[in-house]
Amino acid sequence: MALANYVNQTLDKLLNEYVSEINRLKGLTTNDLARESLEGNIKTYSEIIGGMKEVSHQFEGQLDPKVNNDLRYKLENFVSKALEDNDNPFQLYRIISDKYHQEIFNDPDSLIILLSKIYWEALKILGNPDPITGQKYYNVSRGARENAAKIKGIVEELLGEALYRHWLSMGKKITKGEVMANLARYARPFYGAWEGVKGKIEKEVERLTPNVEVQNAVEMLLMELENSYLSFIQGSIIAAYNKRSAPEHIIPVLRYLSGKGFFKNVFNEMYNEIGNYINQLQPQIVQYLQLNQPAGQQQGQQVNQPNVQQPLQQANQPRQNQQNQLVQVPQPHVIRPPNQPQQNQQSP
Amino acid sequence: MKKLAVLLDHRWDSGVKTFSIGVSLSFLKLYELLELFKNKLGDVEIDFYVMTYNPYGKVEYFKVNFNELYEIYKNKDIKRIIELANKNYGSISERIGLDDILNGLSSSDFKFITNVGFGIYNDSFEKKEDLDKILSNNGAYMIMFHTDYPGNFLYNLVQFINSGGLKNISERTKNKIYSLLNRKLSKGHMDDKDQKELIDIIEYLSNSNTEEAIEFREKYSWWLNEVKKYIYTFTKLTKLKNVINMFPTYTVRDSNGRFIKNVSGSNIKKRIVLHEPMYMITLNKYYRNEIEEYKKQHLDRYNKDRKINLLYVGRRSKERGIDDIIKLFEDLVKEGEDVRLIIVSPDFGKDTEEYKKLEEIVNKYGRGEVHIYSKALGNSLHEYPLHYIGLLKALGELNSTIYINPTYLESYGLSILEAIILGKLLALYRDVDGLKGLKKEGYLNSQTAFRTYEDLINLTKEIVEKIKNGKYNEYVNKKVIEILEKEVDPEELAYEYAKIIGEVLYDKLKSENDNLEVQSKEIEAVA
Repeated sequence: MALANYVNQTLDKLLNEYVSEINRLKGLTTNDLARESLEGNIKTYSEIIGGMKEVSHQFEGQLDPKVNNDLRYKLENFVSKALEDNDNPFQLYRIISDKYHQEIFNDPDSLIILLSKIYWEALKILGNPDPITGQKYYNVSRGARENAAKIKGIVEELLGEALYRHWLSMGKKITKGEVMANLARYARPFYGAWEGVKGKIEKEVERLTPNVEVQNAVEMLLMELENSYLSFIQGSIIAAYNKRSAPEHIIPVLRYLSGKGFFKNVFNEMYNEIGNYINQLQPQIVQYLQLNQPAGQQQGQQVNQPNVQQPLQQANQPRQNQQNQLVQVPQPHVIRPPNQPQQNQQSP
Repeated sequence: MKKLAVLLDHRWDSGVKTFSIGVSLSFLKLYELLELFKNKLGDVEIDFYVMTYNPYGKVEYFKVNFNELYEIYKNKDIKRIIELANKNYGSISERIGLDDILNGLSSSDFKFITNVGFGIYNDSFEKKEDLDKILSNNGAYMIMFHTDYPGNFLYNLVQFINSGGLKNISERTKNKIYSLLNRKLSKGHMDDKDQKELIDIIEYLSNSNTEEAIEFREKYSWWLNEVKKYIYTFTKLTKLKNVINMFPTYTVRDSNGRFIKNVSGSNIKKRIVLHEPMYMITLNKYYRNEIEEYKKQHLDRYNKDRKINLLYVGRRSKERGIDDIIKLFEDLVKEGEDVRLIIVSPDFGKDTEEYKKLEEIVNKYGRGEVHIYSKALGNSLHEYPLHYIGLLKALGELNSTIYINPTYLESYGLSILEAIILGKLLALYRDVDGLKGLKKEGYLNSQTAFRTYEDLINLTKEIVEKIKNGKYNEYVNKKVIEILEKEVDPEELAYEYAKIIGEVLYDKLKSENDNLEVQSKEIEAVA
C-alpha cells in the first residue's frame, strides 16, 4: 500500500507540475496549432503516467504474502530458519538493504547501474548470453521477448545518454555515437556491479552464521526482493509504452523520476513492506517453533499435535496435516568392512 | 464444447510413465485454468485414457473418471493423485476397448499422445488401419518423442550381440556395430553417416540370406517388426498436418529429426522442445514441512561423519553404467579413499552379481561403505517419494555428495534433474544424448561432464579434493537451478501446453477455413 501511495503521489506531482507548465505556455500563444499540440502533449503524458500508476496498483498483491504464495513461503522459510539458528531475522534482512544502498543506490552511477541491469536482462531475454556467466535463457515466451524488445528500445536511449555523460565527466573523448554503437559492451561492468551485490550479501551472511539453511533462506528472499523490484520498474516502462508507443515521451518521465530519487525510494518502499511482514510473521513462527520442540522440552504440551502447524498452514496445502505420514524413513541396507560396527541400519 | 483427450502410456514403470504422471498434473492445472476462463472460452472437457499391460502381456485401455480426479486436485491432495497414477488409476477408471479409444480420440478436438511408440509393443495395433485411425489428419494433436531412437536401436543390437545368443554373427558385423557404439560414445551422438550405417545394418539383418542374418531373424524377428512399426509411425508423422512433434531436448529433437529424414526421405514438420513435467517438483512444492522431517531423519544418519558420498540412482543395468560406478568405487577405495557409495535402485537384490562384487570390494580393502535403498531389499525410497526427496535434500546440505550419472543412454535425465533441483547436488554425468542437450542449454555444468571411464575417475578425484577444500558450491549453479525448477514444474508447464493447444487449434481452424474458401471459390467458378 505504501508503495502504491508513494508512486501515485510522485507521479501525480509530476503530472500536475507538467500540466500547469503547459497551461502557462498555452497562455503565451494565440496560435491554434501550437495550443492543440500542447493539449496533445498533456494527453500523451497523462496516458503514460496513468499507465505507470496502474502498475503500482496491480503490484500491490505481489508484495502481499497473503496473495503471493511464493513470497509467503520464502518469508516463512527465512524467519523460521533464522530463529532456529538463533539469529535476528531483521538483522539479517537489513544486510540486504545495507548492501544495495552501499553498492548501488548511494553510488553516483546508480542510475547507470540500474539501467545496465535492466538493459542486459532485456538482451538476455532476446537471446544474448549473460555477459558474466555466459549462460543463456531458454524457452522464453513470445510475450517476454516482445516486452524485452520494448524495454530495450526505451532503456538504450536513456542508458546511452547516461553513459555518455559519465565518460564526459571523466574527461574522456568519446562521442554519443560511439557509446550507442558499443552500448552492450560499455554497460557490462555496470551490470557486473549490480550482480556483484548478491555476492557481497552472501559473504556478509556467511560471516554471521555458518548455517547453510539460513544462508540459502537469505538468498531466496534476496532474489524475491530483487525480482519484485526489477519487475516493477520493467512493468512501469512496459505499461507506459503500451499506453503510448512513444519512447521519446517516456524517456523524459523516467529521467525526471530518476532525478527525484524515485528508483531508490521504490526499493525502500518495497523493502519496508516486506520488512513489516517479517515483523508480523515472527511471533507466529516463534509459537510454531515452541510447539514443535522435541518431547521433554515442553511443559504440558504434546508434540506433533494435528493442529500445531495451523499458524503456518498454507492455503493451498489443505491436506498436509491430514495426510502426514511422519513415519521413519527406510533405513539403508549397509555393506561395510567386517571390522566396523553396524548401527541404525538394516543388516545385510 | 471443446474436447481434449490425453493418451497416457503406463505400460512400463519407466520414464514414459513418469512423464505421463507429470502430464496428468499439467492437464489438471490446465483444466483449472480453462474453468477460470469458462465465460470466454466456453465449456471444455478433458478425457484421460490410460494404456497398461495386463498380466498376460496384452495391452488394455482405461478411461479415467476425470471429474473425480479433478476434485482430488482441487483439494491439492497431490500425494493421492500420484498414488492413483502409480496404480494406473485403477480405482477411478473403467476398462474400455480399442474401439472406444479410437472413437474417443477421433471425436476430440485436440489429442496429446504421451508416447510416440504407443502402437509399438502393442498387440491391439496389429492392424495398420487402426494405427492409421489415430495417425490421421483428422484432428489436431501433440505427440511426445521420449528418446533418441537411433541410439536406442543401436543399444538393442549391442545387447543382442553381448547376450551371446547369436552364434553365427560375423566379426565384420560385430565390429560395425561396436564401432558405431564407440563413435556414438566419443561424439555423444550419431551423425548422419552413422545413422545411415545403422539403417543399412538393420536392413541387412531384415533381408539378407546370409547365415547370420537368418539366425538374427529367427531370434529377433519380433524386434525387427517393432523397429518397422516405429519407422511406419515416423513416416506417417512426416505426412500429417496439425501435429506437434514434441521433444525433451534439442539434441533428442535433432537426432530423431535426422533419423526420420534418413529413413523415410522426408521431414517431420512442426517440432517443439519442452521440458518434461516432473511430478516430484509438485510434491516438493506442496509438502515442504513433511519433507523437512524426512530430511532431518536422513541427516541424523549421514552427518555423523565427513565421508564423501557417491550417489547412484537408477536401474542395475549395463547401459545405465552400473559397472562404471562399481569400478569407480573400487578404484577410489583401492587408493585409500574411505568413500560411501549410496545406491537407490529398484532391482539391487542381495543375490545380484553387482551386490556380491561390492561386498567383495569392501571386504578386500577393509574400507569404503555401501548403502543400498532398493525395492528388492524391501527398503525402497520411491514407494513413498517424499522419503526420496528428503534424502536428496539431506545429501545436498552436507556439501559432500557427488551424484553420478554414468548412463550410456539417457533421453532426458529426470533423475539428474531431480538431484540438482531437489538436492542442489553436484552432478557428474556422461556427455551423451539428452544430458548433452541439457549441458548445451546451460542447465548442467559443463565442467562435470565426462565421456570415458578415464575421464570419470580423474574428474571424481579432482572434485573429491575440491570438496575437501570446501569448494563444493563452485560446481552448483543455484540461479540456473531456480530457473529450471520453474521450467519443469507441471503446473507451470500447463501454461505452455495451453499456448501450444491454442495455436494448434487456431492453425487447424484456419486451414479448414482456407479449404472452405477454396471450395467455395471453386463452386462459384463452376456456377
